[in-house]
Amino acid sequence: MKKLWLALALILSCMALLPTEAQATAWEAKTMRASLSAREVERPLILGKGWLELSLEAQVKSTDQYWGPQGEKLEWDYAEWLYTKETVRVRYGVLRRGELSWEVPVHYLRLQNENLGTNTKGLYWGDPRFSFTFEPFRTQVPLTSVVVKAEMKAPMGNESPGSYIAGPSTFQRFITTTGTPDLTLSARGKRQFGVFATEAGIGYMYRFSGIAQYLLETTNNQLNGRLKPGNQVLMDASGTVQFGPVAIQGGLWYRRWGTVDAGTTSSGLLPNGNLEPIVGSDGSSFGLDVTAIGHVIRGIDVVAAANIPLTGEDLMFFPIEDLHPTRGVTYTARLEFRF
Amino acid sequence: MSRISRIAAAALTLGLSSMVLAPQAQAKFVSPYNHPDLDWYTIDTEHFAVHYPVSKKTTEEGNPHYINAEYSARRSAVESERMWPLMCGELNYFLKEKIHVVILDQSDYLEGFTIPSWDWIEISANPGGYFYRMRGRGEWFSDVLIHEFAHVVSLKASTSIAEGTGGIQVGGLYSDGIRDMDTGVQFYVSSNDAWWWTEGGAEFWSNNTGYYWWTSARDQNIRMTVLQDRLLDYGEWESRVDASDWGDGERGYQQGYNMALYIRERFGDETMARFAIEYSKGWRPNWDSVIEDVIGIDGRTLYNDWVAYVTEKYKAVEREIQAEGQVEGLELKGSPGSWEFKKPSDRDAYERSDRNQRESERHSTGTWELEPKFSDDGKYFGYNGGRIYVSKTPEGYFPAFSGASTSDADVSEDMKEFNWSLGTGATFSHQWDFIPGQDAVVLTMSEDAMTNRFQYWTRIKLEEDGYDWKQLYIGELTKVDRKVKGEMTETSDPGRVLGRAKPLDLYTPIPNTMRGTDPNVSPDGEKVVYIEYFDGGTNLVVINLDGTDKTYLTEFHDGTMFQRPDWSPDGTKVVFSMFRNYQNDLYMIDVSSKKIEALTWDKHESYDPHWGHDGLIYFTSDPDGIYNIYRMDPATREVEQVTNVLGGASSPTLTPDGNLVYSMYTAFGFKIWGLAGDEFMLRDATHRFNIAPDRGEVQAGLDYSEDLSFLESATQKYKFTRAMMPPTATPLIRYGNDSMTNWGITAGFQLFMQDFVEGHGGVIMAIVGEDSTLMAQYVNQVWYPSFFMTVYRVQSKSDFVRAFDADGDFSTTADQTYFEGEQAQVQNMVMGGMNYPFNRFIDLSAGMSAMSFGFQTISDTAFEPFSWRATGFVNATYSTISQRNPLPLNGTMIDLNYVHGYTDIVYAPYYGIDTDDGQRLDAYRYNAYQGRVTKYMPVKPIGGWDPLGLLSLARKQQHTFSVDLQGGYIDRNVQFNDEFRAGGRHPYWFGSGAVQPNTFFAGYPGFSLSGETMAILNAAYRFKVKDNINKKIGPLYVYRIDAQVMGTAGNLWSYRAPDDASEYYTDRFGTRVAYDESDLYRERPFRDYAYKNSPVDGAGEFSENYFLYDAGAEVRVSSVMFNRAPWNSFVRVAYGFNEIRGVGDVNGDDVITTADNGLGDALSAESELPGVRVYIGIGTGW
Repeated sequence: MKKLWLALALILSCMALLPTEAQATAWEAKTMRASLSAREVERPLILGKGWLELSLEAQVKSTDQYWGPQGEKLEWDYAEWLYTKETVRVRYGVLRRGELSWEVPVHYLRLQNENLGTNTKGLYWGDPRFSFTFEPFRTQVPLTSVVVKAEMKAPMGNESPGSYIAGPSTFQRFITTTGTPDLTLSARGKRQFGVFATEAGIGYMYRFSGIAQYLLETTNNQLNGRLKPGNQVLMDASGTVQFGPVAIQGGLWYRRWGTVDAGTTSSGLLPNGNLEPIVGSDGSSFGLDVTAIGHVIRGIDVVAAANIPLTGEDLMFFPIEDLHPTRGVTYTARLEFRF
Repeated sequence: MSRISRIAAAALTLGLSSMVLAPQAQAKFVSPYNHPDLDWYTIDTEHFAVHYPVSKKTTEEGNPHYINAEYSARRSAVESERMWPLMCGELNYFLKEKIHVVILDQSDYLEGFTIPSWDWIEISANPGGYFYRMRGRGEWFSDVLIHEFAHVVSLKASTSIAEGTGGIQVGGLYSDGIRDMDTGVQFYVSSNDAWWWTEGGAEFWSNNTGYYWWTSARDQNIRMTVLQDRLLDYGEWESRVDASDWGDGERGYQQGYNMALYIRERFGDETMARFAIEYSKGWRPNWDSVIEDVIGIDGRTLYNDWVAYVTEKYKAVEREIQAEGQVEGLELKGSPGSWEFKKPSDRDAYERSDRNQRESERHSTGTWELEPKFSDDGKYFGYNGGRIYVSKTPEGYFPAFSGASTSDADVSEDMKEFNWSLGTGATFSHQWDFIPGQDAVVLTMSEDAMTNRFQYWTRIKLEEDGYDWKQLYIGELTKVDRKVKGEMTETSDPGRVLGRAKPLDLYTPIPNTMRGTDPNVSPDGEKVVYIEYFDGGTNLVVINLDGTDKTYLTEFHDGTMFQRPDWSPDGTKVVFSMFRNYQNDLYMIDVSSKKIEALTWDKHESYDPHWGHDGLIYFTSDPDGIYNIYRMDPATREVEQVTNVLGGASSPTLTPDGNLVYSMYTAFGFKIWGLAGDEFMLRDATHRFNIAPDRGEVQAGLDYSEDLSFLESATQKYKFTRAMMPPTATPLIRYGNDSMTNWGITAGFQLFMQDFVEGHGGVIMAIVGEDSTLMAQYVNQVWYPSFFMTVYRVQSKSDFVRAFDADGDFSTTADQTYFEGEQAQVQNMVMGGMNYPFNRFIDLSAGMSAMSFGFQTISDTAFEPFSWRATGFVNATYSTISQRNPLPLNGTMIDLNYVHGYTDIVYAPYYGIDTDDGQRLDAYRYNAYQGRVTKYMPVKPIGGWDPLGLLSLARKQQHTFSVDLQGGYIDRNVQFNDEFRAGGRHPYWFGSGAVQPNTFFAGYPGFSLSGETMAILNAAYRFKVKDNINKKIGPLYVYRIDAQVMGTAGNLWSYRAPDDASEYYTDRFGTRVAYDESDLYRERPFRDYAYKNSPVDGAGEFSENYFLYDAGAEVRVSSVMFNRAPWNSFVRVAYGFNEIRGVGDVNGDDVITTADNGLGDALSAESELPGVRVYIGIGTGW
């Protein structure tokens, strides 16, 4: 929790970025900007035309637990894994019913293993995501908002383990990407009932293949291999209750991923012809989220959340958070500025 | 007005996208010059902030360019606040954001534009000299502001895309190396309201709020447009892009205005505003559909209905005038035009001919021809056609006066010998005059006019102060020795005139006449009366011809506008037109007593007065809605109508023989017409004018000026930190398969921001994905040169497949080993420099940059530095090629570039060295010199040589021949990345534009050729295939197709390792490395084959390429998408005649073959066979 407070302090210090009086001209509200409620339960699933939201988010997970191959809950005796993800996210209401968003994360990661005497740590780029969300349907009072979203993930994160022979005892750098892009199509709906709201979403993530620097291919005497992570199905549902300026949200999520394929590159637009499945690399995970959203002042919200995976399966690969949520609670703090 | 408006906003954003790929100092929107000599002030009102300049030094302190735009700013502030509730009410869109109005007073030229999403209006305080001719007389500040503010409100109310972005740019380039085909696609999704609605709407709402009315000037525009069959068709009217012939811009405005009035009459007052509301509901690819959604009629039907309506309306006017008796004389030209047919068969042939050709013929007699006059002695005839054209044409030469037809044979020998065109573009629209008793004229020109041979040929005339004010000059006719056959000079290129006329020392500026225009010489030839501009208004001044004894006849400082002062025959009075306090009338002033007397006092627009030698005052007026020439007896004030025209008559002067010459408005321009004295209409018109105004009322009008001093307390010094424009972000979504097997989708945005007077600007771009670019640029435009600082970081991952061949013979594959891998690269650069425009042709840049380059493989724990580079550079560019025209017909560009560089190769795994051309490189300095000459030449008859009329035909069809020569020299062997590179380029990544043709060696892979010496010549022949296509397909409007054939010859030469075994050793890769640098052999251009660009076969034998050649053809399709975004496409096919070796994956098989081939270099052992390469660009430009 100490780290969570540190992250919050870091984010709050970024409030210095808020426009000053002298800059008011450039940042003043425009007439064309859509209205946006201060109450979370009344907010649609897109920002609305003319809104720019900049959010700074810190996620922290410190754990000595992991999932076994059959989903059993296990613990490391000598290792502790710190995962943090600091994300800058921009949402922009580019159309009355359309929103663009980008997010660029960096990761600070650390793995301590008393048994091996290692203490590996580092700061890395993560994988950026960009999306377009379209709201085909909305009613205002009470709010009903339905959106569809297309999201692309690009493999900007680090792929190099810093060593030809990777593994828990020899790697020098954390891998923070699959090395491959994703395309996710999803739909989400929200319905308000007075001070309550419910929300549910479903999505499908297609994962493209790519040459991954962390993947060594030895059978055909090649330097690296091609990897195609398994496609995923994503679902979640939540309920929200509003207490004055604060909304409390609780929900469940489920993620199912397919088998990872690996091999060498074949010809063609999708050069996956030579890839072979890695048995046991598919799996699923299920958990819950608890979130508190506080509207501090006009244009600023503070969000705190905990993500608790209840079930899961073995990673099969070195822990890349993006491939598989590891066991342990992830705490999130987020500061949202809206202009 | 609104020259930039939303279209420029889109163009700007697109331009910025290119800018980040080639960082450079950003030019200002209107003037490229900075003005450190000015302070800026701000008037803050409830809804506006008005910024205006004041010179730091006064005239008394020695400042010849003193500016103080305080009145202009106060007037603008007052007018803006008055119009705010009216205009916001029109659209029911009441602005929360403050609008910033920037007053420009550094120049004497009309300007006015707005970028609504930036809350920015910029106007010139000086309306220039011709605005009233197109729109009618009016108060400049309220006229220009209401129009621009109408844009602000209507476009904000209608915008379907958030104002913080100009649009979304989506594009990509797919390079298929195996098929040698590059395909690029680009879209720019932006707001797309139709031009007619945007500009016509601005005019209409200005009307609805009571500021505008349908003036006689607007009516003459549409009247003649309809009657002379020049209406813009529906596609032209929506997009404007293909409406670029004479008058099309103004025609589009007034066509839109008239349509809006028609819509109001037919569908109701709020219909135009409802289009805005409908469009704001959601972006749609085709704006046209809002028309049907609002009024139930599709746009094309509406257009056709309106055409029928105005045609009937103006046909009726024509019938009425013809019934009265049309009195207009004839156009002053030597022979009848093809449109003046006498037989039905000629008429049929004319109407069957190509529309462009017909219009071109009618333009050929001039388009902006005003102020015709004969000298008092009848010796000379001249007019202002953008320059002053003077000839010794006698009155009797013209059929208008002689009544006979004239051919060249009738032209006198005198006339053949003398025919001048004088002055530069600055004379446009202004009055000029002959000096009685001298072979000279007085005219208005730019203070920076290039008046001698050196300046003309070099275009070097420093304009370090950034001012180019108008000034009076004396131009001498006797020094001109040019002989022209008996036809009036016609050229559309003002820059060439002086060279043709050899006018050395032809012009003498009249001292103390800065910002003076419209001179008229007294009958005794001693004095000049003229108009002097200051701070949004003008005054009448008299001065001796030598610049002494300057006397102000009036001393207004309240926006008063004078027009065409003219001496009385006895030299005691001056007649003039004056607009003040919203009223335009004719006056005369007694020069000695300065007493002003009104000649008219009514609502008519009366201007262009001329005091004839017959004692009568000839002038233009519109009492019945059509401009005609009238004449008034100043003693009796009786008025007679002289002409009865269908178009519009202005600029009258009486000839020595008592005939009338004047300027006639037509749909093809202002033309010089003549009316014989015995054909004057002379219909009594006294009753149509108020010729006996109440003297008290007139005096009250002269004395009254609105007190604006209350704004003093709202004025403060400008602070850019309080005047930053709203930031504009352009989302960028891109695709590129540059790393062959991985998807290269990236996305990000580009953010642009600057302050309202453009002293400080910045761009930030972030595109992230597998390949990421982060860039930030700051531009300071406060001092004389602009300074810029750019930092960027490019980080990318690239896949590779390398094949190592054990025996070096690539025909055998069993011994080849393939490795597939990925590496990450990073490039960091910081660059700073300055940019200084010498004048509108010459631009100088200099700066420095530092760059590091490194990469990371699987075993690297961090990016390993490969090299460090630092350079200093100087670049000088001379260009007369239009940057706006993607298909330039003529012009020259010379680009000279010098780089001094320092490179340090530090890549540790290669032991701190890199091998290049047989030399181990560590740290070195070098000098690189590069030059380029690009010349476009329109194809036309050469002298009199025109075989079979083909060259004339080619000229009509806009055939253009271009040559492009590139040369470069680096003074030592340098690492591969510092060498010159060549090869076919797709414009997607490098920015479109024919000024930088992408056709150099299009027959070879991009960047595959390299060397330290470069000589390449590209030639192309381009021709129009079809224009006026005007095909609208959904949101796409296609208007023109061009084609060109081209070819390139040249090569790049480099260094070679020594052949003598005693002079080299081989490294671990088998590469020959010289013991001594001096043993390297530098290839001699044109004499040696280019070793690096010549392939070698399995036996080690070279195909010696002394020169490389290619030839190709290209089709270019000009179009726009979404009404405003240029969406030009092309297909280019090129054949490279030579087999080449090169860099990287030369043969495009996705495998880079880097075998030990024993050739003494690090080149790939691949070769590209002669063959065809195809480039396709869809919306990428060319």
